[in-house]
Amino acid sequence: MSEHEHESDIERQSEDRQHDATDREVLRNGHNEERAQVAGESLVEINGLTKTYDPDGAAVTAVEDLDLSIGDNEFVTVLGPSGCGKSTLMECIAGYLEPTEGEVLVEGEHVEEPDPSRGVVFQSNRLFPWKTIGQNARFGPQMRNAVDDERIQELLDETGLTGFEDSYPHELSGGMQQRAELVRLLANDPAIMLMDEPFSGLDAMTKELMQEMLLDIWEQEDRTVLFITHDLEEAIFLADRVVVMTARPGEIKDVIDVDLDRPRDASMFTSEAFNEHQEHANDLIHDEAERAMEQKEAESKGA
Amino acid sequence: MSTRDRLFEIDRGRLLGREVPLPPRGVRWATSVLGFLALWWAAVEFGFWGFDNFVGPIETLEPIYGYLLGEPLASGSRTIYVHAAYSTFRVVAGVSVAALLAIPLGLLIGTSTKWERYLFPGLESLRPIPPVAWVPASILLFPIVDVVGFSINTAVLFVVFIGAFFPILVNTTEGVRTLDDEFRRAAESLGASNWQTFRHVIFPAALPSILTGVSLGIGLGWITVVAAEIVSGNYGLGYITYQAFRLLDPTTVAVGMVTIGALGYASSTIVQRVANYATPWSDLEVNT
Repeated sequence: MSEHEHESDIERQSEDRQHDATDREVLRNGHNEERAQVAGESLVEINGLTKTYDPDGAAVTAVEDLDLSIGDNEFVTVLGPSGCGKSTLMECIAGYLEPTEGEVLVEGEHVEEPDPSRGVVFQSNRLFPWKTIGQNARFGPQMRNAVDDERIQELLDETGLTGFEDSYPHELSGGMQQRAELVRLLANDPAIMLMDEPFSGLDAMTKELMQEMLLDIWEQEDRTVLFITHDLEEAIFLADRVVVMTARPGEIKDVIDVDLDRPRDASMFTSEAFNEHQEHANDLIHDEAERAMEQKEAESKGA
Repeated sequence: MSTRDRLFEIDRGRLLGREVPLPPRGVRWATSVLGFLALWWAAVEFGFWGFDNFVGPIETLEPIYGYLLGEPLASGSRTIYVHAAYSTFRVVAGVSVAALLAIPLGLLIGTSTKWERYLFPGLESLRPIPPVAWVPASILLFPIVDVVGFSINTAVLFVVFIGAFFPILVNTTEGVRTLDDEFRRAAESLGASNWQTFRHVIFPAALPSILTGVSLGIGLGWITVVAAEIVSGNYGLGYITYQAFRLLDPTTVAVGMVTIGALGYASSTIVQRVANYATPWSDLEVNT
């Protein structure tokens, strides 16, 4: 694809998103629950999801009666205090956990087990330490005997990992490991990317670069992202919609439509529109964070 | 001292440690071994405890030279090579059979709760029995068989096997169990089947631990082979060491001990080399 075509492609996509944004504007004054639904075609449909853990007799409800739909090619971030069930939500969509009640549908089908169409990035780096960067990158396609070396080379080039194919993960910096994990995911070409606080272990500078890179990659290709974070700025900067969750049991407190232009870059962190969103989100999350902290304190006292 | 101060202290220690250049590997090795030999020599020379009944390192050098040229040991007819070969064969064979059984069994117990429930209690009740305690029962249970002119003492083989089996089994199981579930999940989400997850994730993840088990197994193999040979049979370094003691020949006792030490050291070095080669990603030191 030539440089020119590439740019116009991005333009077209960002125009599409502009349209989506106006569609959502209409919904803006509606009820919260309605805004947890996407305008138009949805790829992921979550209805009445409840997940209860029962480790030692004392049942803990991680997620309660949660409804959410995610549109095709949408970038949704889930923002919530620690221990609010964000990861549980992701694990249900990934197919690692069975919902206690309710259902998770992807393209209209029940999620029953993990599938390569739903790629996952974990909070801790989960590159296979016993495989080199190159072997990690090829892992997904290799499982189906469908390795496309050109595509993998392209991804390694794009993420600055060329020349490190034969290195083992522990020989790389945290940022490089995180990039390599992204390469492993993209090489597998998932329709949905489920990311559970993937950048939380990185320093501020690296984190910002990783966010920009992720957006770059997302804008180039058709992909839906569900990105979990407890970092407010990150949630707004990346998202089309920010789903704000309550402290446990996790429910949707509110949904913020982020109408910032695309493509986005770090200069937006200081823009007025960004600050407005930030204040809004801050108001929403503050009480929940406090509640989550109280819960944690009560638990550690009880233990 | 606060935790932070302690951390700083450790860092400082590391940095300072790095400033002192280490002597070459060979020099360190020689210092260590010669230092030990010097202690032995001094203990005999100055007659600590019962050391004056024993021989020093210098007195053993001469007979070692003779034995290495092929003189028979302890008024027998066999050379040190024959005895060393018997012991080495027993360790290698016993540990190999133990590894061939314990590794698959450990992987099975580690991956499947169902199999764990059936196998673990039985195995766990045998594990606390020290390998040496198996010697009398083994002599009753396992005969000496003749294979193309070589007499194979299957009782000794069994004791070595039992000694190596449990460390390998336990380490293999632990290697599988300590793997974080997210690696398995990552593999599944990348499209790996159960078998592929086992082959590409569970087994390589457990491999460093398995090799630690094998390394421990070899160490225990040398302990058990010597113990078993003292009680049973007419061959081996354990047999000859005890035989020499009965013939009041402390020099040959010392020669036997030095030979066992050297072979044990060599075998653990080989296992460590193999482990480092097989697991290039792992910083884990495989110790005996």
